[in-house]
Amino acid sequence: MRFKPILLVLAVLALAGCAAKARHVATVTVVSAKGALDITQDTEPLLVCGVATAPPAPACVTADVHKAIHAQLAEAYEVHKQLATAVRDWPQGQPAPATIPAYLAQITELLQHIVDALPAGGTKDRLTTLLTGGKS
Amino acid sequence: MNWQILLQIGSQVVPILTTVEGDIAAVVAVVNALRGAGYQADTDALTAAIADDDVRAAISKAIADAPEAANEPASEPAK
Repeated sequence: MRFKPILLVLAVLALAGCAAKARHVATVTVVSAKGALDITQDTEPLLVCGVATAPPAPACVTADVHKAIHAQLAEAYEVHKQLATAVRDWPQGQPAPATIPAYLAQITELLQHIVDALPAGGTKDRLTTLLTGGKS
Repeated sequence: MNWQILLQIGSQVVPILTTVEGDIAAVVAVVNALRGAGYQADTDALTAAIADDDVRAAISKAIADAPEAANEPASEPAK
């Protein structure tokens, strides 16, 4: 199952809308993207081989993959921080910062890689459903 | 216990924030932002998100950089 980054696609579309509400829409988008990262960070440890909630190998996340996923999550949170800072510092009445779409694309790509790295199973399916708003 | 704020868009329900119990300021900031309470409410929500990004980035970085032995789950049964 491929992760479809509905939340972040919505964000890009929303930024093209009315300038007066664009910062507010961008704020909701930033918070939504953070929710996607947070639930991924909270869910992945449940699948690590050896923990009580994890399925047996090969359906669990190995230690190497676990570390690789968190390296990507750490990078994604750094990008998200840059995104949130750009939106926070966006002056009233000014055009949207040009960096916002690039930050969203980076976060989407990292989330895509992370979800793709998870072994198939019910937890991955539920996570994918949450991240895509049921459109997976 | 974690609290999660869900946003319903039509028939879709999406998570927008997971926060630890007691972190009421972050929850209030996000709810106010979603209500369209204004420029300052949005700023407060973004500031809360930035602070939490630092915490969560540090957690993931610690896992990614942990030595192999220290990264083994505590509940792994002995072989």
